[in-house]
Amino acid sequence: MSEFVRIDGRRADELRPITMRIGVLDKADGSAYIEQGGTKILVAVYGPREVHPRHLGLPETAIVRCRYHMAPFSTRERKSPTPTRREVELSKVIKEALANAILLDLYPRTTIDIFVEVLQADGGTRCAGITAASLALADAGIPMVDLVAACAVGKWNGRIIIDLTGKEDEECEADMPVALMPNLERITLIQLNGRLTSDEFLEAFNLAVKACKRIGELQRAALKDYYEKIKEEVLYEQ
Amino acid sequence: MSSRIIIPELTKKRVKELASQRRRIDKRGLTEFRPITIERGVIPQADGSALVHIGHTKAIAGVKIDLGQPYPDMPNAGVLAVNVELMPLASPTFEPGPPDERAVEVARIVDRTIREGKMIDLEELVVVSGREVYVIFIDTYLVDHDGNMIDACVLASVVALLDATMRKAIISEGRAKLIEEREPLPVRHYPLTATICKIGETLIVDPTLEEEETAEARITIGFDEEGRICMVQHSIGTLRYGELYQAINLSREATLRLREDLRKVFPDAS
Repeated sequence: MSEFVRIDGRRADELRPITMRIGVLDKADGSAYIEQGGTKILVAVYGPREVHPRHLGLPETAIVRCRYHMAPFSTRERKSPTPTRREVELSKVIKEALANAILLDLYPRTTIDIFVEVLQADGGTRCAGITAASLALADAGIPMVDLVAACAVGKWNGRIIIDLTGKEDEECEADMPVALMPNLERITLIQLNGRLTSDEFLEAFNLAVKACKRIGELQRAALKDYYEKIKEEVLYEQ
Repeated sequence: MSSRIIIPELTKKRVKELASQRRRIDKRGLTEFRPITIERGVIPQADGSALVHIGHTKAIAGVKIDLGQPYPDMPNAGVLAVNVELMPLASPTFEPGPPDERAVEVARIVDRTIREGKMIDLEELVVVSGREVYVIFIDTYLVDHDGNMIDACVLASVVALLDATMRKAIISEGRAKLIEEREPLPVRHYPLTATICKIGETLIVDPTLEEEETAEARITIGFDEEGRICMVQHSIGTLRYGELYQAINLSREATLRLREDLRKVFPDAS
């Protein structure tokens, strides 16, 4: 395993550098920004708030809506800003990956709206989007049973690797985004695009679990950091 | 769009009770599909077509094949385009209009299963490199929805492709043209999917609508004929790790039996 080196010099099971920032937007109820290698994503959460149109509201629970969107300048060639079928599907799976962690019953007849805006795409955008959105939900003070952490794994050049770059994603034989609630050990998203044997699948899934746990730790640290700073500011003002 | 199906709480309770005893409301085994019928060539106007029943769930797929331009980033591959429509005929919760997120998701699942299962050798579909390739349109209609629309749409699409023939291409005066003589598509693999639902602590294959509405989790897994996993889509709820492994085994088993049904119509689909 030691001799195997990826395009960017990483080991098979090594994450790219990740930075997470919380509370980056003024008007949103919750927000977060993530950089994972070259991938840069901004997420805003609004809600729980009144549902428009009204008939979409549910009497016994909140609904979650999500828009995953790639900015026209986020890719090498300009991407048309109109949502593609890929974006429609990803919006749905991201919504489901996050909704499972939220205590929706507490807010009947309301909506929680999540906006995931990919500013620069370099692989793993749905996963980084989920990771950041979970932080934005926490920032909005929305009660959850656990954070949701996500990471893609894949098969590239016959090897199972984690956290694929855009180039690795283009060249890979398979890519598999996974999202977990790391403390509850529950899968909230798993997709496979490509072909794997059962053994490869298990190897990939185990690596994904490790990667998600690591990302979960980073999320926790980012939240702690953020609230420590707020505490300091409040104390200073007093 | 109203996407809610109302299933009586009593029925849900019954489904859950039975599941806890590892039984089902229609008396099926946990890994058993409902009765399946597969008809090919039901639409002679299409280049390939299929009508599939899984229990009361019905899907029709039609394949149309034409010449067109390749994608700029894949000049040496034919084009595959999958569209799925959840017809207003099929359910009181489906409304006319452009495909909603559910329809787009199913279409992309069908597309990934066929593409990543390497069912069609797309490189065989090039007539003039970078300029003229075969374009395969698969349009799949869900016409009656009684649960497990994903497996029904995948099966109908796969059967329609197996049924399809394409007109041969000749090049005259530097331009590609289709002649009347036909040949089969370059089929290489036979991917199929099986959908698993989790009800209580029990996993079941091929959920009916009542089971799907009761389920806490749903996952669809695709396999090729060699048992390799070629598609996974987890689309409702959460799963424990052990349940994922169990779902993989159950769906592999179920696709093996589905393959027997397919082989009755296409003996080659080993």
